[in-house]
Amino acid sequence: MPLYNQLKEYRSKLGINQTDLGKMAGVSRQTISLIERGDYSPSVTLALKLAKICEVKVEDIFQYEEDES
Amino acid sequence: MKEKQGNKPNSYGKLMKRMLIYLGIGGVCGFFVGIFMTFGVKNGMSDLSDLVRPLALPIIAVIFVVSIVLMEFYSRKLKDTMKHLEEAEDEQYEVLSYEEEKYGAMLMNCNVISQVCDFIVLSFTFSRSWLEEASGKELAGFLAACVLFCINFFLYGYYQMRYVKMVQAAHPEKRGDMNSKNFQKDWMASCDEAEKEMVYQSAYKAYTALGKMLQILLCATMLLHLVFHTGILAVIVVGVVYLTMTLTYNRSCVSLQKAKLNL
Repeated sequence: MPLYNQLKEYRSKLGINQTDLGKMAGVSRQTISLIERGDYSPSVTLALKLAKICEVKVEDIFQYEEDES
Repeated sequence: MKEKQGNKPNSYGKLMKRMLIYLGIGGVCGFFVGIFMTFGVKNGMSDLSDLVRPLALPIIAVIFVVSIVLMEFYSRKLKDTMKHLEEAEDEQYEVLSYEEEKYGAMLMNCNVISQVCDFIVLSFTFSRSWLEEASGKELAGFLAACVLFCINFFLYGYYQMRYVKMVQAAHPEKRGDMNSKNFQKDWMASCDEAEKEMVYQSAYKAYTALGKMLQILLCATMLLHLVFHTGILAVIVVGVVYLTMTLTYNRSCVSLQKAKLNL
C-alpha cells in the first residue's frame, strides 16, 4: 500500500520512545514499529489518535502517493 | 465485454486440463498400488501394524525425548530473546520481534507434531482384538506405552502454558488464563489492530491450505479404505472436518454481513 509516514520524526520531536507512544495510543510497541517501517497502515482511528498525540494533522504524518505505473 | 466473454471458456478449459492431469496422476498411483498389492503386503494395514507393534514403546520414548529436547531448546531461545526486548533500540527490536515470533512458532510446532506422532503411533499399533489375545508381557508393554503417552501430554500442556506465561511476562497487555474456556477470546481481545491483522492473514492462509489438503485427504482416505481396509471412520472424520471448516467460515461471513444490517 503506497502510504508513507513520518511518524518516527514526529515521535523524536516529542522525545518519547516507541513503547511510550504505543501506550499513549493504546497499541503495542510492535505496532508502532510496523507503522514507522511502513509495513502496516493504521486504521483511521489509530491514525487520528497518533496525530492528536503528536499535535499535528493526520496528513502531516501520513501521505498517500499513487504509483505512477 | 468481448474480453469478459473471452475469459470464461479459457478458465473452464484450464479447469478441464487440471482435472485430466489429476486423473492421470491418480491412474499412475493406482497402477503402482496394484503392483504393490500383487507383490507386496496383502492384508494391508494389519500386516504393517504387526510389524511396527514391538517398536511402539521405543518410538513413543524417542518422540518423548526428542520433543522435550527441542521444546526446551526453543523455550530457552525465546526466554533469551524476550529478556532483551524491553531495553532494545528500534532496529534491534524489529529483529528481536521476529525472533520471538520464530522461536514461539517452532516451540508450538514441536509440541503439536509430537502430540500427533504420539496419537498416530498408539492408534496404529494397538487394537482391541490384539489386546484380547495379547500375552502378559505384551500387555505390560502396551501399558508402559500408554503411561508414557499420558506423561507426554502432561508435558505438552506444561510447555504450552509456559509459553503463554512467557509471552504475558514480556507483554503485560496480553490477557487470558489458559485454564479458562474463554482464553482464546480474551487473548484476541487483548491484541491490538496490527496483531489482529496478522492473525486474520495467517488464519486465512491456514483455511485455504486446509481446504486443499482436506479435498486430497477425502479422496486418499476413501481409496485407502477400498484398497487397504483402513476403515470408513477416517473418511467420515475428514468429511466432517471439511464440512465444519467450510460451514463455519461461510456462517461467519453471513453473520458479519447481517450484523452490518442490524438484523
